[in-house]
Amino acid sequence: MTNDFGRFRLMADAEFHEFVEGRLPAMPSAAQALADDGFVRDRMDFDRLPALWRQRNGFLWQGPGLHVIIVTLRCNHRCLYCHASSVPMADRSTDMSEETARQVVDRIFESPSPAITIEFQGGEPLANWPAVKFIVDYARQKNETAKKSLWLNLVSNMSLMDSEKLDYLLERGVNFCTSLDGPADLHDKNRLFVGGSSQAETIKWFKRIRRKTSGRVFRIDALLTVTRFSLGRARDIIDEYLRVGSRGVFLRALNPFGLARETWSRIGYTPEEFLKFYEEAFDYILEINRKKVFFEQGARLFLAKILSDDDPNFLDMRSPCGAGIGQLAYNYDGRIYTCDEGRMLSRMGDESFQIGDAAEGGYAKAVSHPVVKAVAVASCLDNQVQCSQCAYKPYCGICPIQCYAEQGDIMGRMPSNSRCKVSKGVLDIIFRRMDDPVNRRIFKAWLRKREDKGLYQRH
Amino acid sequence: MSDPCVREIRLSVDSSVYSMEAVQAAAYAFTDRSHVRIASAKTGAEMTVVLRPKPGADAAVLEGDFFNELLHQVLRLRVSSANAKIREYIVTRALVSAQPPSEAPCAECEGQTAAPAPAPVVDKELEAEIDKLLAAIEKDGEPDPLRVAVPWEEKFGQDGAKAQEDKSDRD
Repeated sequence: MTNDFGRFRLMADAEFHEFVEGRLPAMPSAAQALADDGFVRDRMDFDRLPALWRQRNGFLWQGPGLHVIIVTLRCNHRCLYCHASSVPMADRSTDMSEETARQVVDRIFESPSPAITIEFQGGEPLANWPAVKFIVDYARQKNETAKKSLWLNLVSNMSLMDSEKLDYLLERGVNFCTSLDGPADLHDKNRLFVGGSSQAETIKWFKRIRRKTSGRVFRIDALLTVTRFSLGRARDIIDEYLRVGSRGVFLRALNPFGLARETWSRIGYTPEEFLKFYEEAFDYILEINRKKVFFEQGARLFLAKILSDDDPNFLDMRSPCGAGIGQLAYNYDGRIYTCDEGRMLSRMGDESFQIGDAAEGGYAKAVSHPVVKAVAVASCLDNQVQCSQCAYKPYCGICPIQCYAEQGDIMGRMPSNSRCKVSKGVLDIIFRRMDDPVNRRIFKAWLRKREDKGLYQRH
Repeated sequence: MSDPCVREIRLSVDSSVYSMEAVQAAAYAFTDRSHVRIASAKTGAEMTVVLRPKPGADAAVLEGDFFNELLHQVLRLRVSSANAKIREYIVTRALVSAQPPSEAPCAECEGQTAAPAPAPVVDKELEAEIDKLLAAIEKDGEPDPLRVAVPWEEKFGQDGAKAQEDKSDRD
């Protein structure tokens, strides 16, 4: 049982039936605890509970904090699930120019958000190093006046990294995020690279950056994309993450964007197959946690909402979602989209989620676009047929762009929506394990490591 | 598979179950797969929806999908109306926060740079609306045979409540 203040109770059937029939627990302390948590209508604290709701939904007062910049679509990898629909390295037509980069940064600093994260995406962002360098310096220069909390985050396959670039980025406090799909045979099967083993390059730089950023606020993290090839190999994958010294793993399901849509018959799976993989991995992670702290990032994001009163502002998992009101994506040519997913659809020939242009109209015009309002209404869970009554509403979120890509309508149809099945399944797994006090202690330890609020709003 | 022999599907829709608004919304969602016509019967008890499948559309699947979509639209209208206030509050709050600050800063904001604005209290208009809604609930509440909404003290009186507590402590 949950409520809009994020409070929950795990109840036995009999206890639950008594409650819905209007009988409070016999123990006065238990009845009072239910009342304190806002479950008893005639004992609601109308000063404390609305304040709690506002705290948990603090993102509603913040504006777009995440700004994704596609500095190029060129990439030297051909990943089977590429969501970005990258282009060959020789094709420089999608490289962002300095003039566009300047306009994009100017637009970003028009956001009222006190905290700004600029995330470099691609293609492979390092393929357009001059643009990355320019944006890093120009953003830092602008921030001397703006004095916002500025985070810079490079999402890279690391194959074009070198010592000079690394020193430059480290000196300027840039964070790093890379892809690691598990052991070499699995990683290299998903992430095709003509220059040799993609995994070897990734690990080499991961370890080096981890060493160099040890004890500092900025650092490197890795992301896993689960494909059909990953199923049945949960332990191998997690062991690989442990081997490279990662703090945790993020078990992310595939999205129906870009190349993944075309290769689905080879690499795709059903939500049930993903959940079977997830559960196996999750239990192995809990086993590891009896010796050392090692988290699953998806569960950690949910747990932050379940066990604390702060929302981690993960933009795909809040109500409304972050599209246009929590994040914006800027394409290589300066076109502005509601989010990175909206930009991915544009690569598939659908411009439904373009809301502006960095060269014309500016930030204000983009965030006032009717599409921003439409996706905010569509992703407001109180406006969704099934979500509005779902026990997981306080912790969940939907992606209208995923609904549109999968079901042809930004409102989505939750009974047959794959993302809904995955989210509900993961939350079932978490809550089933919550009964065990050892697991609860582990979950709390994962949250103690969450010292980096707002840093990885998408990943 | 598409059946080329099926030229049109006539569906009877009970207007006591489904509103015209829901039928229209569901029918509109089918315009990518079929040509659609809606007619209301003279008696008003039934509506007829005529779907003429476009090439490639499977007539049997179309019929089942139409009624699923109709159910979705009925519930969507209901949820949209029932939760209109909270939805409007949340979405408006989020949209307003994304807007850049005014060109001319107010005296209160002068000199303010990075510090986030504190979360404002629920505005007066909304507070008044909440009070109104609560008053309406008090007055015209749903039937409450189990007396769930009746305060504890009203059910048992102060002494009764205490006696219940004592009993619970003993239990």
